[in-house]
Amino acid sequence: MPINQDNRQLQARVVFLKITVCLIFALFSVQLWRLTILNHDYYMGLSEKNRVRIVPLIGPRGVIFDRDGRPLVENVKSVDIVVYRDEISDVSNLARFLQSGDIISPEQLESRLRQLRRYPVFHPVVIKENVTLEDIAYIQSHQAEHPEIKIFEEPKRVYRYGSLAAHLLGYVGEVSESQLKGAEYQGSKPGDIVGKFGVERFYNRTLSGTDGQLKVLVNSLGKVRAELEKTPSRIGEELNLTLDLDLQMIAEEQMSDEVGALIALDPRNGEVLAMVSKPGFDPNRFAVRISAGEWKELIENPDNPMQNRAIQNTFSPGSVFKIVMTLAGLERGLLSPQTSVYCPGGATLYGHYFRCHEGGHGLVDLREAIVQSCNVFFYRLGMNMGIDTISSYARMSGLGVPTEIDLPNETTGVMPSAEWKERVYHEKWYAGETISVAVGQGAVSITPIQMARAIGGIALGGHFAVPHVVRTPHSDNDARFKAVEYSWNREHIEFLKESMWGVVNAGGTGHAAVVPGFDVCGKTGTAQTISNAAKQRLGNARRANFESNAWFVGFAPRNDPQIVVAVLLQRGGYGGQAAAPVAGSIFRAYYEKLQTPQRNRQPNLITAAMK
Amino acid sequence: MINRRYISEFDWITFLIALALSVIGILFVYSATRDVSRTLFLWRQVIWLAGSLIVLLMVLAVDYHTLTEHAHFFYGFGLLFLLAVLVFGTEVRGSKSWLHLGSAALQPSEFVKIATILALVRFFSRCNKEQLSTSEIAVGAGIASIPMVLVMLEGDLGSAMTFLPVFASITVVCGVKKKFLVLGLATALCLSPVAWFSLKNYQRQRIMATFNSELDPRGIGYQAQQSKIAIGSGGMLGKGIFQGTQSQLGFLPARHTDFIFAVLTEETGLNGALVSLGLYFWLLWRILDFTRTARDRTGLLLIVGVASLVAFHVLINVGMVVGLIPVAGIPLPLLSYGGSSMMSTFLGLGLILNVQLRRFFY
Repeated sequence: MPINQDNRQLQARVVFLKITVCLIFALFSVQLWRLTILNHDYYMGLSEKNRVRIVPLIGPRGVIFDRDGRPLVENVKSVDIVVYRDEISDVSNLARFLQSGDIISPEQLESRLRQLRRYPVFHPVVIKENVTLEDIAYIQSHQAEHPEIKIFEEPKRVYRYGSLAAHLLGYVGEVSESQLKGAEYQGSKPGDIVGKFGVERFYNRTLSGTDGQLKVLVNSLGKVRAELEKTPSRIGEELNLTLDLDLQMIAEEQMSDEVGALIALDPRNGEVLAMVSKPGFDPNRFAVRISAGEWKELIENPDNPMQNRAIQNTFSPGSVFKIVMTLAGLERGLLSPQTSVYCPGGATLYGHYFRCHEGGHGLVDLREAIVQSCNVFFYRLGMNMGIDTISSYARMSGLGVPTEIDLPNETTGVMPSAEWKERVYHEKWYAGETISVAVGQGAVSITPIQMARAIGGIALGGHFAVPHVVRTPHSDNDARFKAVEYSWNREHIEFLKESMWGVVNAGGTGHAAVVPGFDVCGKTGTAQTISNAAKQRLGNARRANFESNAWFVGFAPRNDPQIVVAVLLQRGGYGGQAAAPVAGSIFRAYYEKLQTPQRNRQPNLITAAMK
Repeated sequence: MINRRYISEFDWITFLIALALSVIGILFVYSATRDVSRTLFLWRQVIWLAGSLIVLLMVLAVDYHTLTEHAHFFYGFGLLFLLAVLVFGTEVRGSKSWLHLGSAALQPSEFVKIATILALVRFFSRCNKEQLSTSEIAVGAGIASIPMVLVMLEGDLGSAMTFLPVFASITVVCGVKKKFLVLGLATALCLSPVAWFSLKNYQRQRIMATFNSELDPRGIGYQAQQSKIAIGSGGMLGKGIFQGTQSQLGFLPARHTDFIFAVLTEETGLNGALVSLGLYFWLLWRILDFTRTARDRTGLLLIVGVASLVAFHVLINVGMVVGLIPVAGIPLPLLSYGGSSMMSTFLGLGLILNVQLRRFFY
């Protein structure tokens, strides 16, 4: 090729290539402008979201102390496995992974994710709590393939004494979807642990900690590279209960094999010193998201271990009601200490035979009627007084009226009256019904706490303090706990106290509650849960289910009532035999503690708070 | 053989543009890999650049006519290489296009592209008519499609496609009857549905993801979406060198190879991106201008072949990175990490500079 070829025609065609190159580069420039300038904010946001992960710092709930400053409920660290949903690339792959590591089944995972679907996607979802070291090792060894799974620490509630005062303390759990809609849990987020029962629920807002958050820089494998910003969490407020751990422990022990309730409170200010409901449960089991099986077992137990019998269940007060009857009779002038009635062991009234003690009490005056718990005396008193007077004094004493205790789910109960029957059943009140009411049977249905409050209030001559379980700095003049006052005749009150002293100390039905040196006064009750006639028809085996409820309600000391104790034992039999000894041991424990010098009662200084 | 005069005739500007792009590339390869491998990739790329410059010198030393005259050897040798890859090759991310020789890994397809250009130029430089005849086009198409099919068999669809623009631009410059152009376009249109269904599932999903980046951004659209995030978040001035969160924290996949341009844009912003694109544009414009002074048809066609190869790589790579084109594993010449790509690019540039060097007949 000796000479230059004529390439002009070909050169001209190169223009096509140049035009193509220009077009491509123009297109690129426009696209680059669109991405970097026009949509910069959008992509900047995505870039931030990529690299920043929010780690919630859960604010622990406040510690709960007894009245002497001993911690009852605290927090420990629980290691959980969480999933960041915005990082899940393939749910079925994740489900397989978690299943093969025995962490959680695919169904459980699906329901967890569905449950929290409305929860902001960048917040982690707890899928397993209190994990084992094997679980952690399994997750960590596969961290690269599953950056969406993380190990996470969260405070877990610990009830130091297990089932002790479980109904009073309550339990916590994950807030449900329906609870989130209501006003009570306003401010809670899905996934939050909230109080669901007892003090935990009633004082949920006080106890709840404030969650913080940690913003961290993560790489594409989810590994934290740096902390960006930290809002620390705050522990919830502490609660000091009125509960006395020593008393509560003895009460729990006494009640351990029973079905029933026990309440000890200070009638002067309403402070609850002990509260037991049996059977019970261990709230620690709820601190971890409880399994469906365990929940079912508790719910289906015929003895309803989840109910606080002290405030939620209503019972006939039986003969304990005779104290209210006496008060009403004396105050209305229908009765005097000298009033006497002959008891032949029963009476036929309005065409029905009403029973009393086998063999009869003979001629009894008022004091004797109380001490021996003579029914016939009170049948006649009831007849004279009529239902509306009975009802009026019972309601003044707080029977069939909510006590307004600072615990959730309190039941009102029923104190019947003519008006009540008309309203509820649209029927007239029959005078015959008054006879049953006069001895605390029939339609009268009250909670043990109401009974304790009534006897305590009467003992103080008409000072009905509102029972409460939390001691706030201001609880003495807290408007919520303001006592209801009546000025009843001192002599009548003294007579009642003297009679009740006799019940325990002068050969009465409640002598098993006696505490030497501590003038215990009280009244027993043996409330039928079924009529005698019906009981006769039952076989021996089934009769046990309808055994009478045993009551003892009393206070001490006689001249300066400081403590009132109400004991109810379901199917316990006679109040004097079953309930009085239980109450006696509480009075004894209280008395002994009272004798112990103050300096031995220093609060237990174990650090309870988990910061 | 090396004439003193050649040194003065050497086009330093083209060389320096290519060198500048390579140095920019090394900087961002380092930025993209420093977190994981410290300076490992930096030094490797420096060595590759040094090797590439030696290759460039070697290519310049030999008259391009000698090279085109022996094109059939290179071509044949290249095809054997591709066959060897198919038999002994190693699979890297779905495509079996790598040949491991000791510790070095070669991608023979990169070199076969140059060999094919030489073969096409050798063939078409002898067609002296104003327009190519049907049989000439058929033979040329044959030369281009044998390596293309072999590369396709390796599973490297992106690389296989590069043979098309090279063949197309050489034939267009040589002169093609209008009916062939129309026919070519019509065939391409008709074949596209066929091609769609012959694609592997992941390839189809990648194409879908281009047009809808929100489509499963954690799954198949992940790369495309992360790349757009990197670029978009770079803004006008970028986040600063070594400060790009998308690249430094590992959200951007294949960031030192196929997505190097996204790293560059994230860290230097629109400005940096336009400067780099400007350098490419300058380079392409300049070498296309060399066609005016090329001594003969062989030289001109060599320039056209290599220029279209480089341009196509830039088109596909940048197009993919900015989210205009489906994700296809094609490196950005000179900027992306990879010895084979860099060496074959300098090989091609060497051919062009060779033509430029020997434009006058003495």
